[in-house]
Amino acid sequence: MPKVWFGRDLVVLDGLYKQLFLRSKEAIFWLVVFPTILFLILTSIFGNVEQNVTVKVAIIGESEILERAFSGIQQISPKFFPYSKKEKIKEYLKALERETFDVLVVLPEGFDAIYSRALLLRRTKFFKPVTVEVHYIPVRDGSKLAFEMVRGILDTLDVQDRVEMVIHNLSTRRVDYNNFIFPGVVGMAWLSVYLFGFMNDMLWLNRRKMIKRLSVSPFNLLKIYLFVAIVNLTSLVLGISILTFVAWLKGVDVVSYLPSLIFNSLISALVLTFLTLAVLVFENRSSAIVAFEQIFFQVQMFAGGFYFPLKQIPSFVQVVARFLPITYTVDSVRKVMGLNSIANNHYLVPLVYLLISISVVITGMKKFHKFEG
Amino acid sequence: MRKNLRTVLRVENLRKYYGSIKAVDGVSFIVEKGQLVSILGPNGAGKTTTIEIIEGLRTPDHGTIEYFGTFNTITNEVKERLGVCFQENFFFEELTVLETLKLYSSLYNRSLPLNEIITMFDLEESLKKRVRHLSGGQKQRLAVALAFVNDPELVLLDEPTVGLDPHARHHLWDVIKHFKSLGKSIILTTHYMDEAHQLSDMVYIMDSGKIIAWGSPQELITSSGLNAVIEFPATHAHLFEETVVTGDVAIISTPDAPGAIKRLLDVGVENFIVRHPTLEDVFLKLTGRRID
Amino acid sequence: MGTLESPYECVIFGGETLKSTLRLVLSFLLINFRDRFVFFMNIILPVIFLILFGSIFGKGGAQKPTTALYSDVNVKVGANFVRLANVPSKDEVKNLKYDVVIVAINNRIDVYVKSPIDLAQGEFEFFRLAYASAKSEKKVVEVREHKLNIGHSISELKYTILGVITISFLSIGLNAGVRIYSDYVRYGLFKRFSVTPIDPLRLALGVGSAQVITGLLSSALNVLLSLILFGENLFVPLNTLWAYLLVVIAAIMINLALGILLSLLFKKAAPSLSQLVFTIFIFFSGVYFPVSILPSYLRVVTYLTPPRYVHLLLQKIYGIETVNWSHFLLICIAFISFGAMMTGLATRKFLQMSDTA
Repeated sequence: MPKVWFGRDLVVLDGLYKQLFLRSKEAIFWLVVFPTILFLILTSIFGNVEQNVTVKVAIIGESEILERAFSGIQQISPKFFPYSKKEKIKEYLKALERETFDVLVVLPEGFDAIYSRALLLRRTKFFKPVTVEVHYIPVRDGSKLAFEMVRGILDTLDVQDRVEMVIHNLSTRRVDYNNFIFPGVVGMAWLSVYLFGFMNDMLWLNRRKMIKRLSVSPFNLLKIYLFVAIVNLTSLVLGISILTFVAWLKGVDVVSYLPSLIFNSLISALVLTFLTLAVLVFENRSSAIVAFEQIFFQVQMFAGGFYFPLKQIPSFVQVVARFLPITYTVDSVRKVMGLNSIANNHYLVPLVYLLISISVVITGMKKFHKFEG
Repeated sequence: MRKNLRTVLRVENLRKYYGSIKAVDGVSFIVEKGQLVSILGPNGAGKTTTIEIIEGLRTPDHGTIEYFGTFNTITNEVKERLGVCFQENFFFEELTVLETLKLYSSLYNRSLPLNEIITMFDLEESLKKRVRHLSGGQKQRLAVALAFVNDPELVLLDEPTVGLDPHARHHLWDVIKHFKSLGKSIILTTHYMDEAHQLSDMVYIMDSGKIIAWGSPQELITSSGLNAVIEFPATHAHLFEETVVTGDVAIISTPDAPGAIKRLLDVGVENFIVRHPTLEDVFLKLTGRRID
Repeated sequence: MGTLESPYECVIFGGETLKSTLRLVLSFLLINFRDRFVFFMNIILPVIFLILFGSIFGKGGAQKPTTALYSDVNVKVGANFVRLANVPSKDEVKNLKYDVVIVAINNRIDVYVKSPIDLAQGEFEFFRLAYASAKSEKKVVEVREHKLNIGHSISELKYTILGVITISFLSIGLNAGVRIYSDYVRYGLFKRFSVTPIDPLRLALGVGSAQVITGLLSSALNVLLSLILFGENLFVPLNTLWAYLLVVIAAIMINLALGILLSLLFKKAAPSLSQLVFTIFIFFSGVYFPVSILPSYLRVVTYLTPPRYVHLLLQKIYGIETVNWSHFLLICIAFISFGAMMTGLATRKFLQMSDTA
């Protein structure tokens, strides 16, 4: 029986490992460091959206009632100016135009007194509402939102306290956006490693005539493919480990995620390895492959619900997403936290991809071995 | 060296050092109108550096170059009259052969009719092919063709026949001869002795940055004092004093060919060749080694 | 045509020289359309982005409702709310496929949060204000609205399409800069050109013009597709066509300069670095989501990215008062000058001899 594993295999693996990973700054950056950078970028952009959205309100005129009302709402940052400034309204309107603030409220002199009187006379025929002038710029989203909020507050100064609001959390867990985005970035790392790592390595070996050189030696080519896959799996493990550590620092519940993360990483690695090999059976021109990598990466990443819940995106994009394998594995990781958008059958589509890719690779093996640039 | 109006290029005492490496070390030569000059030498002799200094791609540490009897530096007017083919050529891979020819032809004020170039270099069939689909030989033909698009007076061809099959090589020799007959001056670097012998009016043999011999191919052979050359198995090298052994072949050059043949036959050696000396033998005599 | 006396005394638009410049433009243009990678990055990827993001922000494609609402008064709410006809039972609340179910009856609001993700509490607060406002029979305060008109509004879809066009300009300029001044330099293109009497200015003009034409064609394709796929008309009226052309030239030139800068600084590493710059700029330029949602320290970063300005300039053409006209011209002129300077200098530098062993 022929020996399957030789000491020389280790030498080849070591050579590939040095060439394709250890000594390739690019590979280390893109496959190991970039996912973590992306995670930090995304969490800083979307993680605290609410805190970032504060509307700046300028109020000309004094009012304790309004100060109290505004102070109860986190999203508003009010600034009061004395009533005497009303003469310089044009300057304030200019400031509004320059986006120094989002909305300008002009109160009548002695607002609190007039308001209290109006409130008392409300149900009498002597009632006269208090008029407040509000200036805003409707074409600006921020200004429009600020106006709506200010109007809401002014409309309900009297009844606000009477409306009671109770929030019932039906889900047993409470997670923040960082927890949601984490599996999405992991998905991006899977794609990077197999599309830009594994696939480019195969192209490189072909372009530099390495495959050709090795195919005239008694060394089994299949082992080369396997070794390149192992090298890339190493970078994947390293990249995801760093990402997971940073995510843990940022408060992501990585312990709950871990079993599903490992399982789905292996499934995704398997599907992507055979999918990329299957594509290489059909096409091995560098420019065409780079184009394929970019299309698949961008479409899978943006349409696949990596960065926002799949169920929120329009049907057309959802249909596209449901034909892509990594949509399911990312969603499956999220399932442990109840953050999934797909209810069941998480492995049907990945399995179909895997089976088709394997059959293409097996039937196209001959063509594959005649890898010619 | 004499100066006359027909001198197209005069190179004097050219030196180019890279640290301790003397890439070009005091090279001088002239090229006259209608002359084909070969620079012959092994890899690393300094041929390409010399050519690239002439092309203006490298600055010499020392020495002067005079182009067309008038210019001491490479101006646009000089470039207008110069044709160049590099040892390694870059093309826009996505352009067709015709588009490439048109592009390079448009860079000059004067040009040869493209039809002429196309026919001459046998490019009709590949005209509409993108460069990346061309074979190595076709690419090389295109590279040489580009050297002639501007109807140059002086053409610098750096190893133009490397990678061509024998048929294509001979075809290219014919084209070069044709241009020479039109009065064009050509500098050719090569390490193919037969090429230099066939085409050149003048051969400069370079080794380690220096020109070690020059003259017409025949002059070189005659002045080398080589007569008949006999090649025989190296196992009998001891029979003669001035034998040069390369591999399992021993080579002697002798004024007394019948005497030498007799000595070989006397010891029972029958598998020998007697031939006229070639440039290769001249090189062998000068350096003690073969060119490649 | 006579001979030239000095290398740089070439007339760019004259007879043979014009023909040669046009030939250079055509060559670089053909490469942009024939090279699969360049064609994909410059033309196809923006179209894919257009379809993807257009579907997300486009008509009928607005975000799917995530909140179900039952209210005893008619409350003005956004598009992410779905109104329920009856008060849902507790079981029904559990079974409804929405992240949040709100039941507002008799001055009491019950918010059932089903998604485990922390949702914006501000949204609920906003609803409380709206509900209270609807409940209040007689308003004590009368709000007098003063709309300050500073131009037209822009839909989210238009904002995104202009973002896609901005990114296509980034791709075209950046890729050309890196490809020509890093890859081609290494492969010997400039060596081949330097033995010809080509004028550096003419070569730079050829490079720049081909990219500008590619930018025009790519943006025209996106504008056309926006109309066909999403019914969004982004055709520029004739009287502002000049401004559009100016922005295309400015955008391409500044991105080309960026690519050249990467090539000069990082040489061989420039191509992969340009992909990183491309990816990061997509996130930071405020092209796909408004800059206002970024944390303030990142907002400053957006002003260091050319696409941010190009996006503002493009919006200006469509009547959005992002900048005033004098700033508009100033930015365009600055971008074009910087781009032209970088292209000219780099072309000249690489056409000069490469004197290494």
